[in-house]
Amino acid sequence: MANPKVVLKLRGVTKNFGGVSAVNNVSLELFEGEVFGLIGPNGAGKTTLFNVIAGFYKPTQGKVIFNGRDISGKPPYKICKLGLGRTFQIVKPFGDLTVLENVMIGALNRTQNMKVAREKANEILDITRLADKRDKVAGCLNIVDRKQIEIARALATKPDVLLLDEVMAGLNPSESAEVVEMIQHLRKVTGISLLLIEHVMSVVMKLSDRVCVLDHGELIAQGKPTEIAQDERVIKSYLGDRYYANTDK
Amino acid sequence: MIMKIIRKQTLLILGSLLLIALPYIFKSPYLVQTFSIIIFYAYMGCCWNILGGLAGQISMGNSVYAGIGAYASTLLFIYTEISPWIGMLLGGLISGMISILIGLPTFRLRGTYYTLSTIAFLTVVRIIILANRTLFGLETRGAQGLLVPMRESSLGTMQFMSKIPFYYIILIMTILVSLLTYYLKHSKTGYYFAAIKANQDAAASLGINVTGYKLICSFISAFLTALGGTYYAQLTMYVDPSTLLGNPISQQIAIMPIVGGMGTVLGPIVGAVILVPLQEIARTMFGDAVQGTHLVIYGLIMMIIVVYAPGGIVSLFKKSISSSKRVVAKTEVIQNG
Repeated sequence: MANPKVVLKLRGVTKNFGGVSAVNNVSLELFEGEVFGLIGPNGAGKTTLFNVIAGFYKPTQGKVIFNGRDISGKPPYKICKLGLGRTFQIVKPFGDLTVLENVMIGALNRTQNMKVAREKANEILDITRLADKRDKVAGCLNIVDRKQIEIARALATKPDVLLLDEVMAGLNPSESAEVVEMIQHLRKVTGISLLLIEHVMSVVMKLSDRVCVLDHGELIAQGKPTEIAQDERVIKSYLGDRYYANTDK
Repeated sequence: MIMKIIRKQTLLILGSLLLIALPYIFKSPYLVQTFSIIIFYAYMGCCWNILGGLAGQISMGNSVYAGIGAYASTLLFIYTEISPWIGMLLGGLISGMISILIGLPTFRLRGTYYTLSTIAFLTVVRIIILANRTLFGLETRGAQGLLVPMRESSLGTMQFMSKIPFYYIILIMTILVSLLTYYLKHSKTGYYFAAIKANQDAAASLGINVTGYKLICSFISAFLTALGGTYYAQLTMYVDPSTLLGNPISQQIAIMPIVGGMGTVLGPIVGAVILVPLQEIARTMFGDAVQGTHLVIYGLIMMIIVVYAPGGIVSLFKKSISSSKRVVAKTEVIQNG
């Protein structure tokens, strides 16, 4: 990787709500095929940053550049069409529809044809291991499956970059290991770039090529997972001394 | 293949044959008119269902488009003698256009707030008609309403000596709108409507232009509702602000699909077949002594349905689906709790 292509670039992105600055002057670059972890304490502005990138909020200042195009302030559906998908921290399945139909709606982003969308959706379901539940009504499934639907649906829109918002939250260790495996598999198969918000440190450290840390809306560090784990400021604001002690061993 | 379809759809085929034969079984003009009114409500319920049932945008003022359609076609007929059939289509287009103009600001609202805006729009249009004797230089005669001028009985003038043609006109209109609903439900557009109904934010994140699809949906619904308005004007030979532009009719056309089954093809029809006769019965039983009894009955039925069969009457016949829906409700409660 001599000169990796930048797919997503944030330049001085700021989002204010009244007097509160939820995201303050954040700049970062996501390379093609990379997994970039975004960590930070609760209320650090991680989800707000996602909402700005995906078009749900207009940035107060700064620019979001995706594949060389300025997408700041564009509506979410246009951003999705350009190839940037997202999942929600609080899952939002289409509860009355089946798993297959949920994923088909994602696939319809790239086709008018219902048959093509159905085939595409089935393909995605195989990758995400939801295949045996395809005809179940989404609202009846447990949280693990609903998180998988969230990912499958976003994948079906055929994104170049996927924003994953806490897909491991609420999962037990074996379930999250399953999702980690799925994401690694996905990366191998599709070469997709991922930006992920995560609180489970073992997952972040295992999955990410690089990690950045957000605190009070500001980017306080970014670099390789091992470097981040050693960073004084990060330990102080987020990881805590015990984690530092653990990695030290 | 064909035999299989016939066996599977026996009930539907028998029902359709019965509907076609109905005016020849019961010959009394009163009954034929009553049947027409039942199907008219079914039709209006179907139009409402496209917006409310498929896309989840609950309107309690949808009859405003019927009113606009009826006034448009009747005024055209009075001033230019243009056939109500053409007036119907023009009225539909005008209604559709207005629904887009109104939708641009109101579709930013969600849930109940959108519903409130539909009631407000209906009220505003009614007051405008009531307060003015002329609009745009055309005589609308305020609360007095407009009489459709009598012409020769013919298909072109949509005026008939017998009530039977009216029965078949609304029957065909209802079949067509049901087929459209069926087609929509299984198309990309229908799936997008379902996504918007379930969760707007998720829909937007999957590349769905939420406002755009809502506008398309409301155009279809308003256009078709306006056709119903012209039909009603021709059937009763009269348009006035208090019936088509009143709140009761707007609520009734929403109650039909809610009771029958929102978002289903047959729901509004089932709802109308059960509810409209109740209205007639209530009227003959209580007469003018207690007006609006049928609305009280509708309210009670709606409460029972909402509590015990949220999917509507149609869902009771699809046991598996209704039981899975109950699980949905439960898991959602658990999640939120």
